[in-house]
Amino acid sequence: MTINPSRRQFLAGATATTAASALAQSFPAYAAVTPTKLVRPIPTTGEPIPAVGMGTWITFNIGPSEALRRQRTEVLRRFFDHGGGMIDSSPMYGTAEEVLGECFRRLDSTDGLFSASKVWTSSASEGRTQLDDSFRLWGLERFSLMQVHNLVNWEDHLKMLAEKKANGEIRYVGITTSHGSRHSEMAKVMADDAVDFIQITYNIEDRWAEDRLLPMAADLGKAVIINRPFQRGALTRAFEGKPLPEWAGEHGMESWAQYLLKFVISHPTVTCAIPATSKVDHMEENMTAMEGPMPDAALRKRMVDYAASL
Amino acid sequence: MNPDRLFPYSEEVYRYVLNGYRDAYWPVEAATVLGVLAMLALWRTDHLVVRRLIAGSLAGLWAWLGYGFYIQTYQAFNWAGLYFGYAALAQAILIMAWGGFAARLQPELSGTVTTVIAVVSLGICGLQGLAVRVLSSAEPAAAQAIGLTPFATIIATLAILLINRTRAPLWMWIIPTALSGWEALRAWVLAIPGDSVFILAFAALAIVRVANSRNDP
Repeated sequence: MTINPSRRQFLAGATATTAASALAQSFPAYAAVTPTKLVRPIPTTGEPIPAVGMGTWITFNIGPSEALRRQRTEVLRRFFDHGGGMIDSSPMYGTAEEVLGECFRRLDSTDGLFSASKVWTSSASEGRTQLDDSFRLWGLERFSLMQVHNLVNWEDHLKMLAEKKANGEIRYVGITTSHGSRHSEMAKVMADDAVDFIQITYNIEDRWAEDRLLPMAADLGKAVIINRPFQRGALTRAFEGKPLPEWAGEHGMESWAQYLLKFVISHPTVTCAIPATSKVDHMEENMTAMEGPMPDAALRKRMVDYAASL
Repeated sequence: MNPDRLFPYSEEVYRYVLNGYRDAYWPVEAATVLGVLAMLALWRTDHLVVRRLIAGSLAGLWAWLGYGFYIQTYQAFNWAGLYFGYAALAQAILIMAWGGFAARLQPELSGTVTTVIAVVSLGICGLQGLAVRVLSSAEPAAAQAIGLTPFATIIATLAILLINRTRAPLWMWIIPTALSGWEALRAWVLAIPGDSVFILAFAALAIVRVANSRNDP
């Protein structure tokens, strides 16, 4: 099966979301069954994408096990049921891309998919091979976004990706880092006109990006993907069993996962956060973080202070 | 660097990998068990052919570990598996050269602490898989097997080298020791309790090896 969600299909979905939002405002009873989801525009085109996506580091590197593939298919089903869009992977993640392709074939629908993968090699020619492999493994004819993983040989890969973008094989180009390092190099490369997206680490504990990269992205008009919103699970583990503040419920935060995700996606420059999970109930929690009110600057400060006090 | 970054898969996936791998290659496991029993039966026979047979069998286990496990199976989950596979194949060649062609592999049992620790370690390598499958509440379990999975094969090799009649040269220890370190880190990062016996065995073998070298004249 070939999956090629067109931009028109996606915009239709986004329009539906907007329409649901308008309906919810006019008819409060409707809001109870059709919650408004936060979508964010991609600065270079204005195309809206859901503010919570999905990463696949570790969670989709599961190999040939049929039992695990069935289970991950259910995780993806829940993701799409909740209006999920961006799914991010990489050739570095072992079998994750192949597993995604297999799971997509098992689903009735992948409408709304915003496919994002990466090139991760120091060799320019190997980069082209990796890209071809990603198309084959995902079962796509066109990628929404292709990124240079951890800035590896970005000089050659950005040229190649710009070429592919011009040919219409990919729609957006991006660059990534994932562990708070190489911020200076990232700042230099993100000024390149070819770059539509940057992907960086940002969460309630690791807020280095606030100093330089997020303001730069806002100035340059780049979309921002946030990886590790839970610091690879360390934050949810650290807060497990500790009480949410009394005021969290008023702002639609019923769990720590929602608290942490709402903090990330409410930053005005953030386009999409991509938490990874292998559990259906965690996916449910993650996706519902897009619903309800979003914290403003004052509440975000309060959230940081509360988390630091624990 | 955070050690978590070295292992791009979860404990759950590792259990499924080991289980699927053992299911797929059960004839290799059966042949290995027969080979180990034959080695034990021939152990005391001090004959050149027997020494070479033991070395050839051990080299074969390492060759399979390199190709069957690291390159064919593990590499899909971790790109570094290719390099571990080359390392295991290199160890197979070293064992064949030193133990097979030069006929220097000649394990012998005595009443020393070294022998006791080596034999206990070999027992752990042989029985861990069975014990984990019986005792584990997780299905499938992360059960190891000599000749099939890394930790059991590597620790068994270190134990055999330790009780060799003549001191095994340093270059015979390098790859198994490095891979043991990697496997210990993997067991710790993924928090696999059944592998803790191998970490203990590795530590005991390392201590004895260092102590023995200090006692050398």
